[in-house]
Amino acid sequence: MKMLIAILLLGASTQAPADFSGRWTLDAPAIATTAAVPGTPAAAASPGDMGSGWGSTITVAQDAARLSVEYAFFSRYDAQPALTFVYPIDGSEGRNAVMMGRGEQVEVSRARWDGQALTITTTARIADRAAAKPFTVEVTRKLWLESPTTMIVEVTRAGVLGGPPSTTRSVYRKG
Amino acid sequence: MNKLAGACVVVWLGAFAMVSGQTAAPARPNIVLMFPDNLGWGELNVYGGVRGPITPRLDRLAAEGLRLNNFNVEFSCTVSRAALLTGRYAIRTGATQAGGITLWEVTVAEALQAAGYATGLFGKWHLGGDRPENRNPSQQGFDEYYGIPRTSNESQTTIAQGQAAPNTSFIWEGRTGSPPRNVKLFDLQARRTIDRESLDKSIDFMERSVRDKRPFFLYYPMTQIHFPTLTHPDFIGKTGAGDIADAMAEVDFNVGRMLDAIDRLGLSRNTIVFWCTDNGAEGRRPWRGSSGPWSGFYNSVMEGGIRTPCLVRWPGRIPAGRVTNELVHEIDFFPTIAAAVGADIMPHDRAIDGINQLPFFEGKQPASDRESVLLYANAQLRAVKWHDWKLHYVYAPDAGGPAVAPLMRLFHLLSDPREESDVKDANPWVQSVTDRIVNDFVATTRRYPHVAPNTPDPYVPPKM
Repeated sequence: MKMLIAILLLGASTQAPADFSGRWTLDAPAIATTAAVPGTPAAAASPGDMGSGWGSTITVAQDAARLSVEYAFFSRYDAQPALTFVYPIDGSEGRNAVMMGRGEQVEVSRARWDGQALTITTTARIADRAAAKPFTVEVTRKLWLESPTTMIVEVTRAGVLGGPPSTTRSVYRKG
Repeated sequence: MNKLAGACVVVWLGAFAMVSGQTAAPARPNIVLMFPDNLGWGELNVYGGVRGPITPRLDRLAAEGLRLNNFNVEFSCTVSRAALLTGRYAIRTGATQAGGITLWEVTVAEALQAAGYATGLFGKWHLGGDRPENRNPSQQGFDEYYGIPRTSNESQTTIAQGQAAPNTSFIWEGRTGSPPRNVKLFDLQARRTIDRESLDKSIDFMERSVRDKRPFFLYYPMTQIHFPTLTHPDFIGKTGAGDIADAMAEVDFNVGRMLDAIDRLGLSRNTIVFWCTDNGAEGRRPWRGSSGPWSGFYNSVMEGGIRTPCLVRWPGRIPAGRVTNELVHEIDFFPTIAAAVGADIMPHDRAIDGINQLPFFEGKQPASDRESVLLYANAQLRAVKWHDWKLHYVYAPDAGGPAVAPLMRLFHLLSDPREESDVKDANPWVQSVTDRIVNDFVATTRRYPHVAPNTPDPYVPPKM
């Protein structure tokens, strides 16, 4: 029995990290896991529709050092490339930048493995004229495979400017 | 106002009268509030209208006062009038087209009347529901009134809202202490002339108030350019640019006559003139209006439905020619008027969402104190504006149309005025801010529950 447990533990510790590679399509509107805003039909009608932040159809590429997520944001007419976010998964820090019409928005990410789940924590410095001074925002995405063809992306948006945090869970199917 | 609430207001305003009677205050300003119907941003030349130079008087009014480029209203007629007159988001009042608002609500007219103002409404009411005789303007603070109880489209059938038979829609009039009296059938012919008639009565009201040496609150809710957009005979084909342009020329003409009367009576420097519209552009063909740079029409919370032109003039107090993109809402008028009058005439027993904008209007502070706007479509919270951001919780871009997935969409209104490019993926943090705004609002409802839609009179708020 002790030997069996030892073999299982060894197997677990040497298990290859989950591989999220592939083309994934959002299965259904995301579900908010945080409490709905009380008394607002909107929250009940649209639980967690903030989504994963990566769009409804995404292509994930992964190797030992990084994970990239690509998705089409713009229309064909816009003549813009797909958005691509590259996240180091070896513990180092990565930077991504997007152009959404308000200058270059830079975000910094760091990922860590927690068993077979990958947690990517992304921060950005926001200078918005609506706020008295610049502030930092944080988004945490936790990815795991519920099955070889089902990927969960749970996003937690930290509260800012006195507001509450929120969490959304998106289910993607492979293909 | 019901008797119990009325007694409270009498006591509270009586106290005000005692205070005001002890001081030699400067003359209290007159208030003229012109409020056309279903008139979108794109109909005024000064706001970029493209139907030709048809609004010279409104353009001049803009030059003489403050032009608001981020003025917000409720998304539809009745709720907008409820918000305008009570200083409360309409969701709090339970306002519906079928029911109007309860007599418990305290309107700006009611507050000013109790403070000694002469008060008159000449034009459209639409806060009395299917039985407007039971919730008529004289029960909500207007000494006298003339116009239509409900809305302009009744003239197409002469069937009053809530009725089935023709010849039930009338122009009415009334005074404090008397029941409403039907004056004549509200048919297409009467629809063409109602704004002119209401203006004539407005001017007469001002003249009488001057003779009586009373400050006045004149509410002129014009019926143009709501469908059917049929003008006074003098304006049929006037512009050569279609019915809406003709109606705008009529609106401009009537505004000009109002301003000329104020000048002639020597009241210009002591009269605050508000001109703004109840909701966004008329969207119904064949009288589809212009939302200017915005998307959508009234009955949606797209900017084209809830951002409307607004001009404010008070010579000597509000600097002329100023243009601002600061957030202002129609609910701000009541507390702003209260501040201008210089008296504590706001009710204190309920939630008031309006903000006193007088220091901002006067240029004493650079920015509006309003940071957000809640956008309801009847009972459903659709969106929240926070400065230049707008988060739709339920994205339903077409007037009266269904929600469209993804329901939550975020737009930055300065970089994307037409609300076309959803940027929530890149700016998810905004949800935290708008959730906080919603939470704060919801928290107030625990102390001050909403009046339920279609609540009968007398309404008594629950003890909390």
